[in-house]
Amino acid sequence: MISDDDMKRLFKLARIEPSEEDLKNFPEEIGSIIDYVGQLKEVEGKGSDTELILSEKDAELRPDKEMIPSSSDADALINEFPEKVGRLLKSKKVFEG
Amino acid sequence: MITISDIHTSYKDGSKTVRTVVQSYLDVIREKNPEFNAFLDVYEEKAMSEAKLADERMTNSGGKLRLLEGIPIAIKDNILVKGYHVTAGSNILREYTATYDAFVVEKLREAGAIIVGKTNLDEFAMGSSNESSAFGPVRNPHNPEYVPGGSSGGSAASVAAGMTPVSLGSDTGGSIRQPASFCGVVGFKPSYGRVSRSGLIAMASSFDQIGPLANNVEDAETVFRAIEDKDPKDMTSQDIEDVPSKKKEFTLGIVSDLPEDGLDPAVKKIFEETVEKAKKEGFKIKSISLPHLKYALACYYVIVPAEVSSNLARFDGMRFGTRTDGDTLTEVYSKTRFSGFGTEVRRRIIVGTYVLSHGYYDAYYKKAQHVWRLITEDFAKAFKDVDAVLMPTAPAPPFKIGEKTKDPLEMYLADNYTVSANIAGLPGISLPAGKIDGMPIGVQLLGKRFEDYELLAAAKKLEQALS
Repeated sequence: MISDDDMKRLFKLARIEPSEEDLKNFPEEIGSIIDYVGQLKEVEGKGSDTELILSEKDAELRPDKEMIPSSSDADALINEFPEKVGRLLKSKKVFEG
Repeated sequence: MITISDIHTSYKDGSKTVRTVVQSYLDVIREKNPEFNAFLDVYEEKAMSEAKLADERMTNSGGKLRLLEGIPIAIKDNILVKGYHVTAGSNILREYTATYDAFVVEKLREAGAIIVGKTNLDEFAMGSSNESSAFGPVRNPHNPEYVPGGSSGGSAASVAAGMTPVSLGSDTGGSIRQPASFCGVVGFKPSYGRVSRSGLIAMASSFDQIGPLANNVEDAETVFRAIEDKDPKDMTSQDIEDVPSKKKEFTLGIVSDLPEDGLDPAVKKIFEETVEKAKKEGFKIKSISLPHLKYALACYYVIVPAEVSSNLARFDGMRFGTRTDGDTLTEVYSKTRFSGFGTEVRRRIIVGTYVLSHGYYDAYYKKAQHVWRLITEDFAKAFKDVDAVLMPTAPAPPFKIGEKTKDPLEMYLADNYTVSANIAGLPGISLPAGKIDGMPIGVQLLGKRFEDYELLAAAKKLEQALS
């Protein structure tokens, strides 16, 4: 069980407005999930000391090269803005006060 | 059951055109989709115009067929098809239009496939029953009162109901294999890194993998051959030297310490019968130990929510998706994310936020990373003695719609046997193995990482034993 204050704090960190229903149900539901995953604490050992890489190939990086999208890609992305002024994204003030 | 090979034979002997085949599948979709809700979008006009071009191409090329020439395919709606809606089953992307094609979509088109539409799924691929979709649940074609499994429930139902011969799904913890098991079809999750994730809406990037659902192993392999390749846009995709295998002799591992909590006795019986059938088919059977397998689900439900909370941070109503207004920027974020995300998505984001938060990170996330390594090492050790591991796909048979929605942990247990393949990056394939009260039950084979074709060869042999 997670306390009501902790639950409100988690919603704030996750940037989600909590509903009354979530605040009623989540403490017990999420508490039981956390209790379940808590069984990991009984595991001893931590596997190999190397970084968690599933194969040597997983460590390959892309070439350090600039990739420039086409203007039609840019138009398509701008078209998906929920609110815009011309080609500019519209939002509330980033700095408040 | 119509296979890719059947369709290609009808093109070669001239008994059918691509237009007649595509039209016949579109007719089935129109007839059956209102009952099963497997499709969110059907591209009828586009598919028919592509079919016409395919007929012309075939005539001009003297009947030469590419790998998926004229084969209708359905795509899970978390995979981008440029110019068409992609919702991920969520209200937050209800009106969103994909701005580019996923790599797998480009590969399917290169192979001649015809995309007929997008299939329903659990919201952002989070679920084991397809009940968390913002567009209503998919119903199981074997009995519409039952769930089709999830999260690729629409893709599984599409193949099971004969709406398409093949489909694409995505599998983060069993989301191809478990619905394949519930719907009585074949579902293949390739090795992590075999198929590009570019253009797949991310859930948990360390485990997500796209793969096919089909009527048989051969069709699953054909679709896999078409989509697997290295893609510079996905740094985890690999260029692997692995070609279709002709291997005939296999040793299968049976897990001696398989966690049996929640294993339905009837599922266990079908699994034991499968082992006997495999022996008769000539498989060698060997007992293996995977000592950390019992912690796989707990490990998964730390790593995945952590990655979910991070990956879904981008859905804030700013650059795409729906926006709910508020007085301040923070309020816009939180109101948008409240109204846009369903309960299961909000629940997983909160769990992820918890396990990554100060004071809990070492106890949960870091510990889960250790267990992740231990499980991977367990499999590596086992694969020194066996070619593939045989397990039930899901611990319990398909359940009725609404039966498990009240208890999220009980729903998570449906993934108990599938998550380990994702944790260890292994290929896994589910095959139909029997029925309980008319509902299908599957078994799965897990193979060595990047030896996908050898696993598919073993699966073809097991399919033979089960037929």
